[in-house]
Amino acid sequence: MFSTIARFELRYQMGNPVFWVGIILFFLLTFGATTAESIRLGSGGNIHTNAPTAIAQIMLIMSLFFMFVTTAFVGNVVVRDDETGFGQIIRSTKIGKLPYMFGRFSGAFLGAAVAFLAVPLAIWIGTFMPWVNPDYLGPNRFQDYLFAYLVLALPNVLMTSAIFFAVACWTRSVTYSYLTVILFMFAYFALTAMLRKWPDLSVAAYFEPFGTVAYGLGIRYLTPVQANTQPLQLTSLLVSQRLLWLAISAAIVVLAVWRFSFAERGASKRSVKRQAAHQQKLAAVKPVVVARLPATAPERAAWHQLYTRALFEMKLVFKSPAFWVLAVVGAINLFSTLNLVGRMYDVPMWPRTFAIVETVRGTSILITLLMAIYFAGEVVWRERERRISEIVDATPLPTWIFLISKLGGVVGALLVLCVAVVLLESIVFQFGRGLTDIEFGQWLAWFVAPSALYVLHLSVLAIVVQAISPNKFVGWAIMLLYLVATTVFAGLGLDHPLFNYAEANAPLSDMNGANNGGDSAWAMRAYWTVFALILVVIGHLMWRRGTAVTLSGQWRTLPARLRGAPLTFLSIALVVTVAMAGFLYYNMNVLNHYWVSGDKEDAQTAQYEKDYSRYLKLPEPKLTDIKLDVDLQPSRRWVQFDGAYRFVNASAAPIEILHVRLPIPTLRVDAMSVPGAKLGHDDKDNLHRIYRFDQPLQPGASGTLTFRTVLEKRGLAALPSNRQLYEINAQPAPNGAYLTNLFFAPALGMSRANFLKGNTLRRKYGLPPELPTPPLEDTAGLAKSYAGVERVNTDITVTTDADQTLVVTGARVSESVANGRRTARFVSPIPTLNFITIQSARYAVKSEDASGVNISVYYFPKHPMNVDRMLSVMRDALDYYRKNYGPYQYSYARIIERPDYGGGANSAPGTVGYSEKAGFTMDFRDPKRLDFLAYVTAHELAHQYWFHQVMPGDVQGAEVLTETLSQYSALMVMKHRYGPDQIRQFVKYELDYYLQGRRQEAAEEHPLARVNKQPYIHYNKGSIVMYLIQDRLGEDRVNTVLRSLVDRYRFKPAPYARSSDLVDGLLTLARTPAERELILDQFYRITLYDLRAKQATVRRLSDGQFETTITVEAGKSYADGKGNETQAPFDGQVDIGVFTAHPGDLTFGRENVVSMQRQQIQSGEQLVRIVTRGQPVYAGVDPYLHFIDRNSNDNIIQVSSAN
Amino acid sequence: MLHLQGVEHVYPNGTRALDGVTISIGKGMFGLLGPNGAGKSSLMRTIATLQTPTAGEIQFGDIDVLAEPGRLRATLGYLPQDFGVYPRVTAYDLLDHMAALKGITSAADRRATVETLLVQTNLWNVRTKTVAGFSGGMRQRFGIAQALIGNPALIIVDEPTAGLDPEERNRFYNLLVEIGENVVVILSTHIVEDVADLCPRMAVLSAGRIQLDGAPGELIQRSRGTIWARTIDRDRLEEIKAAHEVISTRWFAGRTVVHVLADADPGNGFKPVEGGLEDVYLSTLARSRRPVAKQAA
Repeated sequence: MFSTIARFELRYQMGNPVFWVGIILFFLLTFGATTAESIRLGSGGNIHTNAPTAIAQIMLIMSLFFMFVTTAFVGNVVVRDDETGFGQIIRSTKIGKLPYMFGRFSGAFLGAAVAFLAVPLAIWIGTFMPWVNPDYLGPNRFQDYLFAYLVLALPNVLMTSAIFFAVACWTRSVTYSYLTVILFMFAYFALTAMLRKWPDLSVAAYFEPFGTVAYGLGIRYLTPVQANTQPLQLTSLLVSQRLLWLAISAAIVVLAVWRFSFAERGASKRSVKRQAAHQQKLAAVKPVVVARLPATAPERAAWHQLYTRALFEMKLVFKSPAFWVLAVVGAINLFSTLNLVGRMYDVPMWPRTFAIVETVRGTSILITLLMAIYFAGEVVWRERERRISEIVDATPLPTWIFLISKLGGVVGALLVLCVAVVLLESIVFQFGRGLTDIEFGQWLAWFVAPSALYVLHLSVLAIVVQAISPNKFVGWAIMLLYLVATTVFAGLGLDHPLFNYAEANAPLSDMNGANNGGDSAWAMRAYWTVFALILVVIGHLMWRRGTAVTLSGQWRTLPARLRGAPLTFLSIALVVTVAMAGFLYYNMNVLNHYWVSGDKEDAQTAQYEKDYSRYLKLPEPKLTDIKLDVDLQPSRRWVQFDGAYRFVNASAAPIEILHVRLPIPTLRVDAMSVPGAKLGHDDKDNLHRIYRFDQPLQPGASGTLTFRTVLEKRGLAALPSNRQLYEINAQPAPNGAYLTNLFFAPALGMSRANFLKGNTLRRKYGLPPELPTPPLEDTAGLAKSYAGVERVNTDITVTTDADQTLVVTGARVSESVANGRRTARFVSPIPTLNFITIQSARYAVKSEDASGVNISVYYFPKHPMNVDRMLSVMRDALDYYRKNYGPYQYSYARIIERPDYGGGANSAPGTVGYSEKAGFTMDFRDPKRLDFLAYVTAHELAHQYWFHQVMPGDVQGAEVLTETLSQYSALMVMKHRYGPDQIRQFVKYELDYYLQGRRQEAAEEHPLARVNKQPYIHYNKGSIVMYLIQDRLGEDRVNTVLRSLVDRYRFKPAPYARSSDLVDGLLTLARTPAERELILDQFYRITLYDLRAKQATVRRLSDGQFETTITVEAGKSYADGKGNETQAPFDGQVDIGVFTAHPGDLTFGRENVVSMQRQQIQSGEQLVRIVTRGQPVYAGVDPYLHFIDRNSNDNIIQVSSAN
Repeated sequence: MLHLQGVEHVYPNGTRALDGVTISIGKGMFGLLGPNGAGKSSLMRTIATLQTPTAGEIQFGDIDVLAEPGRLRATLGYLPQDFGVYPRVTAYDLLDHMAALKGITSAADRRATVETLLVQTNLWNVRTKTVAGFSGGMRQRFGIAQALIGNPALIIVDEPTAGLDPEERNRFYNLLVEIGENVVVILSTHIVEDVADLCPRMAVLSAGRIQLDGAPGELIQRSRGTIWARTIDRDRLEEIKAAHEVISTRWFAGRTVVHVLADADPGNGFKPVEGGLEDVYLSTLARSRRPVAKQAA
């Protein structure tokens, strides 16, 4: 019986269009992901498209989204019989419930399992496509596909089948099942976001139903080579996770079948009684009965009808279950994203309004899209679907009310949910986080008004699309196409704001308000509102009232219905739209510079390189002095720079030409001259000028260049589509101007900095591969500084509004206020690297003296939260650096806040810059949170030594001297601030980021000393390496090496320093060959360790002490740049510790350490005994993670009792 | 009151639903009889302004219905053949909403309208129930309640008693008759009895044309002498059918009573019968099919 039913069901499902639609859809999705270079799921970098891990990744992702198909299968199983009315016939036959239900479920599941084969098939076929880059492909191995399908995909298909089978049994409705799918998706994403934060992922793996965590844990430290070649491993975690969820799935199905009743449910006694009481109450009310019914007056009722109708539509939307499901989903989504917004290193952010508005709007937009599209289909077709259209259409309702009232209903419901409720939830969230400064004005201007208009625009579009569609599903499909088009068009370069319906964004800032594109965004909103009016008129004209009205019929009779009011509205809206489009285009593209992006920009950059690279090798004059006179008028958004450069020919040959590069197209050059030279070439497209000296500049001779440049905002400019340009686009900001010479002053000489990056892109435009960074041994490379800029003397005078505070590179030598204008002069006390910043804002300033250095924080008065913390860490850092590295070069150290336009922290001479969100608004009220602000501040201050004092040459490993040593300096400051037992948390982050970073390496991993602009190496690996080195060789001894580096290279011109200087210094500290090898392992080899505590038992000794026996396993391997590993013997001193708490806990501290001792450990397994007074709970090998351990989670183990 | 002149309706797929309907309908109940697919609903919808005829004219009082549909709608009560309601809305609220749509702006007027109609249709005690949960009869009464809002001068009810039990049907017709005295009520149905009981005037619509119109009694009178009956054994039916134009057959005491249409005595054992309206109707249908049948032969 069972198999008959199952077979019938399978045949039925295969004949169902859903089956084929599902197969085609998932085949195309997978095929696209496999063959399109830009998508590449699970692969990328060096990982092949058909690598075992990539196949597994695609299958996992697809099996998650496949639940939309499985739900159709299993939902249909349950609901079909009730819908067709066949159920009563079947249920009255002698078929038992069990074979019937199980048989059908099995059939449907098998159908889904067969349909999912489209995914591996698509990957396999995709690998044969001629346009797929063969570099991205490895051999196809059947076992990889089989493993991914059987172990990963199939259990997931079974699980989703089971869950949604149960849901369908319970709700007996396909619609509700689908709503549950959406709910499930959101819950799942919220869950995975939460799980990611769990300290022990191997436990989290069991809670994640789809096995992505369990699988991910098995592969997370694989190198690209391993990922490409190793067959997938069936880890014990993966097996038990899969079995657990298979069991849960089975239980769900059994429960669903058990609870499923063939019979309809009857009413309970209680509800019958309640009904009766209710009836009595109803009967008791006396109706108003009149002899003659009141007359109607439809000719005067239009507004009342509109109001009633809109309210009625709105109420129906509110009563719809879909509305509540989406509302709940929206709320969950909002809270989970709000909780994550701005979190860095797990440190939360003060949820100030400016900082969360964008996230809140994102959520609001998401719900608006879903709701507008869904409910537009529902409301427009409601009367027809409910078969009440004839009655309503025959009432004297004016025809225009139909569309407008439906629009009103949807807009009203969406305003409540996507604006009012979201606003309320966000404010509740702010209060919940202890923020009382809610900034209602910001909420109104930045969220309520824009979101309300977005709701209007989207609702108009969705409803009008439905009004002109032959049915609801076509309408929905058109809206989906619209969603796809909005993303695709941007990719095709059609990203002009005038083409992107309803889009109007502007970055927000507490300091600078919406002054970066806010005015244009409002103009765009007005423009789209008028445009929406055109849509409304079209929708009204096409509205089908009555029966037998077709779209084509409406179209034919359109001219007749256009007469009168519709024509008036339409023509006014058309004229205004066109006029506004013209006005906006003039403002965005003519008055202001319109930033192009994407292919066009790349092509131009490529051409620039072709035209100019021939000049690269020629000698160039060297900049020595800069004098600037800056007239900044923040409120007018206007700033003028009068500058004078002095340059000399420091080379041995005469120089004939001078290259002058202008930084950005929005900078206007009013004047520029080079006395004794003529402008020979002025390339306005590439912003490149070439001056030719009348007499070649002789060696040692000098010259000058004077310029006047202006930055100003005129009218309504379009925001650049590249967010990285937001900061430049904002200048000069009315409050919080951040002007750097990188974009307001001409640069002298040629530079590769602006050339196209990335070899794939370069190949596309016919450029040779990027020049490799010179190797470490290339001494000629040491003639060029890593920074690429000269040390210059600067003398800068700036005038700004009197109520603003000025902070400029250099020491403040004078300041005065006259006529409402503040003028201040800043002069560099010593030649400094040519990074000039001019900042002007209404700052609050807090200053202190730190042993002769004036340390100060310039901040927005509403952001005082972390100012004291910054001052104290500056003091700690400067003390440490001055004591160990040598004198600090300035009499001041400043931290300056600036509006958040995507920038983070940076380090200029004597200055550390933070944007609003980085640092100033981090929330450290929970003392257990890692003090990453201190870490970053100490790091940036360390750059005053390791960049501004010691400059490396432009060869491999340069970042070791700038970034790695800054990381080390910050770690040392942290170590003294918080104690060595707290450092583990920093190191753990660094270790995980390093191991993940090398997984994503696209080219080649280098050893630390040869690092080539690879942040995961010079930041993350560098930290661990330097921490280990100081731990083994001694912090003070390491610092003497660093001090001698500073002494040798401080402010020196070429030849510049290199990483081997550091390594050589460290090697002099080695007391044994083992220490020497350790240093070489860290800097010149890619060394990976594997230290593991396999087992730990404790027993009580007769003297009352505790003896802990730990089984330790150790191993070491060397990797090459592609990730191939060779085993090496390990023999070294390793920390063995026993604790009363897990060292990874946030609350872990000194008092939890029972014992910590260093023991000699060799490759393989060994027993270590430790006798302690206290009873340990945890034991660990290298518990503080000093070694680069490929799996740092198995270093610590719980101690079990021996008896 | 209501005059239709040469009303034609051809659907986009070529179906000719109305084929030159010309008829005048005065105050009182007017029965429109016709088999399924005769075009009754098309005619009803056309009069109710829901579809524009391909050709023809419709005049109601001084209203040119095709030119000013709005004016007709202002005085129209329409109960379509097959209608549904909004989900999750109570009878009271939905009737109130309909009253607003019909143009009653005053809340007090709407209350009087809604409560009076709920009482009249005997729905007062279930007013807080959702209409979607109503039984067929209750829903039909709700339908008539909404059609009566604002004292319409033209009421169109299309197949209103389908699926009602006899008691419900009676209650429904009582309501209609009460109102039908001073206004035009068009009752479309395929149940002959209903028309016979209620309507002083009627018409038969078939194949998109008015085949017959007049007062039922008059029509029965006119049919006298054309309908003949005979009781036969079942196995002879085919033979009879071949020889005569059979308009109806029914069982009686285990044998079959056959009615045939003939202008003169067909002999062969047939006796004249005093035809009811049903015989009139069926014979009209039979006549209307005749030319087609002949063409087919």
